[in-house]
Amino acid sequence: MSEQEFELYLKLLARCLNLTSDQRGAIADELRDHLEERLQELALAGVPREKAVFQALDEFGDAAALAAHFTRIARLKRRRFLMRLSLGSVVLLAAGLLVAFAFWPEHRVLQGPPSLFADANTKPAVSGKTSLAAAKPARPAEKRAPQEPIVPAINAEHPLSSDVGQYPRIEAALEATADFTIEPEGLKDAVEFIAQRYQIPILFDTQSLDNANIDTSIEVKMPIAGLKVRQLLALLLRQLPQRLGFDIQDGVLQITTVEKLAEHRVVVVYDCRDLIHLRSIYPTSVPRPQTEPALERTGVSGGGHSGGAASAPVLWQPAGAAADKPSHKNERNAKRASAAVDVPLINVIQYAGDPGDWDEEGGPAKITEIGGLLVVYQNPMVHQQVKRILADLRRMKHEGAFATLDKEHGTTPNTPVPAEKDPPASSGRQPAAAY
Amino acid sequence: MDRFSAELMRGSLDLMVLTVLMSGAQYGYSMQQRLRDATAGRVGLPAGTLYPLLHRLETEKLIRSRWDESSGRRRKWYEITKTGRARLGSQAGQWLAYAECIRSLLNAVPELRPATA
Repeated sequence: MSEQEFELYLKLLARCLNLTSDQRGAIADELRDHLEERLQELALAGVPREKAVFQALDEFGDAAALAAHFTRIARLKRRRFLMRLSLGSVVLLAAGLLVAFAFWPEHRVLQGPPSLFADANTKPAVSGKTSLAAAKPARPAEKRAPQEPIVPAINAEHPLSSDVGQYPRIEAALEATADFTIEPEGLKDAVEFIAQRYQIPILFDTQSLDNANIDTSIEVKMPIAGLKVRQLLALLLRQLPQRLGFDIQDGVLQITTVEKLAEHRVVVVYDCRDLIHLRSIYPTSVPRPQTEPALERTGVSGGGHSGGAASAPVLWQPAGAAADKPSHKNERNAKRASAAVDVPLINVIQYAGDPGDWDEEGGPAKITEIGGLLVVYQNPMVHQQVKRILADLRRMKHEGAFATLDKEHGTTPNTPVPAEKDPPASSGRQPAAAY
Repeated sequence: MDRFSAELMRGSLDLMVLTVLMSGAQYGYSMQQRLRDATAGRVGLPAGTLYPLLHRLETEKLIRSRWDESSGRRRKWYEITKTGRARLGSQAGQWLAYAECIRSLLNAVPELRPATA
């Protein structure tokens, strides 16, 4: 028997394996390593080469029988996964039916106050349509029907990404619901499982992780099923002592340090023409009535918005009774008039991320408005926060929050806010926002 | 003494492999060698038995694997997981208790008592 028999055995084994090509290749590599080691041992013991090959192969036994063993074990693994998937699906379906019933318009039992900022860590970016199939790219010509949810689905395409092909697929996977748990295992294994489950490329930035002495074999777990994959990944990464994050770069989902992510800034254009009329609660061309109550910009603790004291979210609300003293009213109005040139939307966006990061504070990040389009140069983590801010603003607008404020205080924005939930007359159409 | 019979070893192979992995990461061939050396050749686990066993233990999350190419070939290393350690602890306890039972039983029959020096 020659060494050719060696490879023939492995080929026969691979052919008998009823597995994917990757799995077959992995088994062949593992056995080849063993055979080579065994041959060396037998050679050192003085066994002639041909006899050694025969003996080594004989120790593996019949190729077909061995292949049947491996296939059976792989099927067992698949069966267990399917059982967990089925059980998880049933539980999710039951939970989904309960939630749908509880929140159905006629049966709505919970209606909390609107929050300006969503918790960046747990709240989904959008409500309503979230599937990739439902997402539509920004098209200024579209007119949204009144019944359509005002909060758009996440745009399938990153506006300035060169990886349009992979980006939507990975984004869709991140928004999918992980109906499985993660048993205690190394982070790398858990991530590999997710990558295989959703068929998306996930890479560890080994250079950055090695430089930061991060061990990806540290054990992680997630006993809760039903999270979005994005949340699941974030929660798994949070179990490491160091801060890790992820982003889609160069067609792959890359896991790296938060510091490295923060350095990776990209430009994203957000179509905010449906929101930009918020810029002028007090238009400079309209004289302010003297009797109107002042609107105060107050800090309100938002829903889990991270950041320092300077980054408290903003709501426009009537001033308190104590502030309505006539002696202060004109002074306040003067201040408000000078602030009318502010673009509150930009100010609100700049609460995302580290305040010192924005160019106003001397940082490298930038934000500019061009005809209702917000051009934001920031890192991916802040872009995620920006998306959530815009989604919440749109939801509030849909619920009539801004129209109520304008009506209450007798203000007239430059772009009239309609009483009903129709698109602004001046814009003519309601654009489907990019984010 | 001769090798233990396959029938006798059946049921304790998991225990043997998990025990070997307690001393650190191993690849298949090194595990086979270690078992043989630790038992003075009395436990010879054929490759055709060892590798499916390793794959099954990995499916059960008792061990985990990683690939390494530093030896010049693709080599699959295995290490025991936390779940594997817990299982080993439980199995070892049971096995020792079982062995003690058998020993007591056999000691009760004079003809079956092991010869002493």
